[in-house]
Amino acid sequence: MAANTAELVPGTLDLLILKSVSLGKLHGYGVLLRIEQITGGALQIQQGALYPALYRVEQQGLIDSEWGVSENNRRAKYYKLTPLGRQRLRDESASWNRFADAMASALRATSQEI
Amino acid sequence: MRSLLAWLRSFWRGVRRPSRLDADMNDEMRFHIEMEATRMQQRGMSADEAARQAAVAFGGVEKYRGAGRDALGLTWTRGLSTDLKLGTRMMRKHPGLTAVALFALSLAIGAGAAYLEFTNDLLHGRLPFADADRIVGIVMWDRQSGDPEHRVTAEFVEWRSSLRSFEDLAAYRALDRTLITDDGHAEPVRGVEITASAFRITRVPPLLGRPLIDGDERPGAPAVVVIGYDLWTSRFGSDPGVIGQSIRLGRARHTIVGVMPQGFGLPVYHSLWAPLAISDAGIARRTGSVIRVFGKLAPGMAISTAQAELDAVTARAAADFPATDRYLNPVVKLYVESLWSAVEDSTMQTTVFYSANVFFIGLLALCGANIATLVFARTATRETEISVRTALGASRGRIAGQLFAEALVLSSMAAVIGLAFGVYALKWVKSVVVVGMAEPMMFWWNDRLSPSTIVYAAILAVLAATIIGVVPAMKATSARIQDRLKQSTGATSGGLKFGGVWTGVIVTQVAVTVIFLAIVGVLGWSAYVTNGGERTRNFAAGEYLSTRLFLDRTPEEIASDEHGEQYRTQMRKTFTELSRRLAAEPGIASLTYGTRVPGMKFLYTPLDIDGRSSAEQTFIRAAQVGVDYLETFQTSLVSGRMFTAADLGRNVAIVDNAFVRHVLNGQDAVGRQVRDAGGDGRQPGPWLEIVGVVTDLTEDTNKKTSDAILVTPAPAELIRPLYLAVRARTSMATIPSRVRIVAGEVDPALRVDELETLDKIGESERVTLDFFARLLAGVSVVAMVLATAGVYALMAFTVSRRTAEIGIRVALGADPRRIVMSTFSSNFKKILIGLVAGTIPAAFVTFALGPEVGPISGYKLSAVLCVSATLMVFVVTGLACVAPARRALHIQPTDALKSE
Repeated sequence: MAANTAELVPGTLDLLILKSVSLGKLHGYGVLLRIEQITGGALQIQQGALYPALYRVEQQGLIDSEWGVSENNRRAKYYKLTPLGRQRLRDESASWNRFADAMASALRATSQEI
Repeated sequence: MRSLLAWLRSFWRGVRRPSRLDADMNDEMRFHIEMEATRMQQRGMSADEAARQAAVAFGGVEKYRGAGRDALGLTWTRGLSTDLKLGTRMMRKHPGLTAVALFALSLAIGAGAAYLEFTNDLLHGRLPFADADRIVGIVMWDRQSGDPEHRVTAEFVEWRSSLRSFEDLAAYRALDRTLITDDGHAEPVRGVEITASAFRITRVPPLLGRPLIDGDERPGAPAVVVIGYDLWTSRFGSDPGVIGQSIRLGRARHTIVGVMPQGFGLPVYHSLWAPLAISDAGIARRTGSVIRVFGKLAPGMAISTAQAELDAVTARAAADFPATDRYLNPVVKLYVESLWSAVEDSTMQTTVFYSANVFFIGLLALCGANIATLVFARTATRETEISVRTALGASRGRIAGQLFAEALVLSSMAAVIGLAFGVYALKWVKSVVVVGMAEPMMFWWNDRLSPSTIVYAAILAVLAATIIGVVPAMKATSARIQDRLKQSTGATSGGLKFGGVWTGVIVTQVAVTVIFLAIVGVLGWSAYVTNGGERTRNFAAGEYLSTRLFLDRTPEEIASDEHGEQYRTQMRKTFTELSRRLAAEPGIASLTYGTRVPGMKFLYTPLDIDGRSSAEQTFIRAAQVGVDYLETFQTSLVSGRMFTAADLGRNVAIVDNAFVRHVLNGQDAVGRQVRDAGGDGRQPGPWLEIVGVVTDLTEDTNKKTSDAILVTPAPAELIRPLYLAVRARTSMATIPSRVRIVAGEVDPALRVDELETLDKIGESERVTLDFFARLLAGVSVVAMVLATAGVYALMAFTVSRRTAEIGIRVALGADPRRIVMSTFSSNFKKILIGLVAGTIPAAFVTFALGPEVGPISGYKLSAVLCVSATLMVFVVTGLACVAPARRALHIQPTDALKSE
């Protein structure tokens, strides 16, 4: 593994999908590119694993899908965020930020602070 | 909620078009890989290399598609859809089993669903009005007597102005009158006097004209009526100009102001509405006529709130008027429920009605258990398939699921057929009820099935599928799989066995069939020897017409005529004139009257006979009749004399031959003294001298003492009920309408009810008997079919288990009879046990139910019926053995080796 990439923490793929489609309607491949883009390519995702995750999130009613035509005139399935998904994204982002802050602060701790 | 909806949508898509979802998934993943390949190409990779790299980067398409299916919840819906397809294929492959199962299950499910629909319609019928759930009835109960108190006019006036939980209150009372149109046509009509508020409550607009309005109730307002659709079409030829026409209701004239649309029959099955004037001026409590009250709850108001308010009002009244109101207790219930509930708390009745459903569930379970036997026998032929699938990793649940799905296909189809049958059965039952009660159908009854009934049928189908699919599956997969696998590929004995439960089911089935057949036999025989309970009349019943006569009176007239003196005077005048006019009719040969006409049941009367101690009381049938009654019904004099006009008012009687035979044991009757013994609070009647003996009015081989007849002469105005009988000279065709017209002309208040020819009397009993006979015959056929199928399954199962053994014995030249006997001996034993087990209770039942008359009776009849029923079941089940036995004897040694 390259030194500047990280393994995906289990459970975070759903959140990344929600974030990606919150920025605009995307097809599955577009979601992958958007994740790469917004994480600066720092997260390694097995491309095929994206799809079961997409279906799962759709099944939960967090995103919605419809068939459309892609930028190169191909039939493609597009995903967009539902109001329920938007709410979930807000909640999960807040919870994730709290967690990340807590972890960062824990890992920054020095012996003087104890 | 939204996520649930999303799940349901996706599930529905999965069930409906699983292959389409798979194809979509494929397209989507292929699109991804191609896009990735294009991106790689743009970075300078060759097309082939880019395609390869893109596929590698994606990972296994098949793996992710599987994961995608799981994510979409498609895995099990796909499995289910395959199972359902397999189920349909299995149905086609085993048409015999399919036919038997469909027949039995559809009958059981249909009967259960029809019963639920009937109970719901009866107990919780829904009025076809807007806001029907706010329309309630109020019944005042007298806690002391336990009876309803309907003289509540004073309360109604009070409630109308004070109750806040009601939007509107209405009251009605019966108005059964003869409706006479200007063409002279007269016919009884079922109407009510009803407050105009009733029309506001229902909010049903009239078809023509207007409904009743408050102004119609004011003193001095013109007398108006609103008529129902059926009356409008039948009596007024759907004339749109009917509004403004004048009709007579008894003696009063009314103007038609409106026609209500089809299906409107408020309060129960009525077709004419006249205004009910209830003045606010004080009416004394517990006086006034009998009325019924209903109302519409104010929006958002619960029944319990209305009940509480009424309770409070009644408690105040009880304090103010303890003499009349102390024990009164008002009960508010939904409209339909308030009509039929006979006691204050109807929970018990409701529970009893609904718990009868257990019977139908039991019937379904019985049928299901039988079909499970057949399915189990069939499963035996698929033992290898099941074993191999188990070895390949299919779980017990998966295999049971497949058998369940197969059963579900079968039971669902049975449910559809059953519901169609249920609709038919419901119509039939309702028509029987209507004829039996001699009243029209309640206006809220319809022939459609309610959604709750359809859901119930679906639940029954799942229950049936569980019994016929899962139980055999569990049994078929319960043994140690490794052993079975070995057996199905090597050893010849062992494997599935027809266990104790299945054997028990078959034995019970055979026994039950014998019992049912014996019961059908005894009822059929009983109907034969008693001529269906029908008395052959010794005169041409079709030439006679009878009708019940009485004079309509208003509640006020009834109140002012305490001893009925005015009624008798009026009736004497009316009846004399009616007789004179009818006797002058060219089509009428003769006429008479009585408290009964022959064919009806005469009054059951205790009799004292001179010279006998009153301890040995005799019950006979008695009637008061006109002096020419016996001649009119063509009896002949055996001894003594007939009545003469001078006998009216004398204490004389005439008896029939049956009286002489059974009551007097053949002694001469003329000159004997008899009297009504009274009892039960009645005084004994005066002593009567028997002046004549006549031939019997009706013929019956089964006559007893209680069929002996005694008639006494009485003037028409003194007897009740008063039946007029006329004999047609040639054709009956015009007589009924002439009787109505003449009656209307003689006295508009004269009601002509139950107008029918004498051969139609007893129709309702015949229809009811016919209903039960058909029901019982249906159940017997089901029992017989199931028993036969069960025996067939047992035999076929044995053949399939012992193919190898039989084949070898055939090859070695064993005697076919010995092969059959030794192979099937245990099966024959089971059938015999069933036959014996059924014969014993059948003997008791037939002995208890058997008629005492006829060529054979008592234990002889019982023996004949039991032997016949047993023989019949023996023969039919024997026939079920023929095909498997033949199959066994035609097993070739090569087939036997193949089966190894």
